[in-house]
Amino acid sequence: MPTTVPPGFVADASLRVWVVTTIANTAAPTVAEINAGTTIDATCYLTNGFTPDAAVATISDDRLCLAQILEDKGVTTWSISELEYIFDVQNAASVSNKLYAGLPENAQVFIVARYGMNVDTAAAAGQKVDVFPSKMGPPVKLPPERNTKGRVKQKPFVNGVVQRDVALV
Amino acid sequence: MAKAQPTPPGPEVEEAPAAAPTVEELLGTDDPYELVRAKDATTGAEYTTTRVAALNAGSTVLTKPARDQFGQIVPTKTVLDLRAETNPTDADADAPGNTNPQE
Repeated sequence: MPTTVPPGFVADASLRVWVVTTIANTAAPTVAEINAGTTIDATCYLTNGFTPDAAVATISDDRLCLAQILEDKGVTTWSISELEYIFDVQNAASVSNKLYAGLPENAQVFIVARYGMNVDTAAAAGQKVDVFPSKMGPPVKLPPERNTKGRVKQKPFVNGVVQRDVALV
Repeated sequence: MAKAQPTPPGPEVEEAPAAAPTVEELLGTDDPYELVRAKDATTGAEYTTTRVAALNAGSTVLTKPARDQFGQIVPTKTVLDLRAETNPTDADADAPGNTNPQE
């Protein structure tokens, strides 16, 4: 039998990240919530990717009867690396400044990430997304560098239960 | 004798709708980064954001304070459709995300 090569999906432009103000049920975010006027499509503002992570503690389980130390899965700490994004602080109402203006320090938002689908595809029921309830840290302006856009970095603190692979309804 | 035909009404001259004010015009001299409470028209939720972000989103800026007595940002007040939550139909029973399935 010949080997079957699964095609996977091309990663380029396959991730979309929304910053959503309100989600009534994070286990079942709605398309209306994603498309609300208060939602900011952060994808084209981000300049350094979007990197969530889950640090899982290890429980060490040392038994007298064994010559081996067992381990078990401890608690999980979800985190998201600092977001880096463009801004235009002097033109507050500029479209380039929309994410900066919409993420003041301490703002409570839901960061919704949709993987594995062309970025231009509109949100629709059934699409699987990850939801990260987050409180935003202070936006920090990065020092200007030659041949770059002005950017800020801002740390989201995951302060709610993360939902993975939940369907939009 | 021919009846006088009523004069057909002429084409109504439609006045061009006034252009909606831009966010810059709505801002005026207000601080664009001032924290405000705003109400989202689509979801009915009240949330805290900057004035310019609220105007960008087309939300109504409220006069309520954006910070509580301890200086913390007032959290989002989400509006739930309780009728939809408590009265699912049979057709909703197996719908994804239904949190109140029927027996």
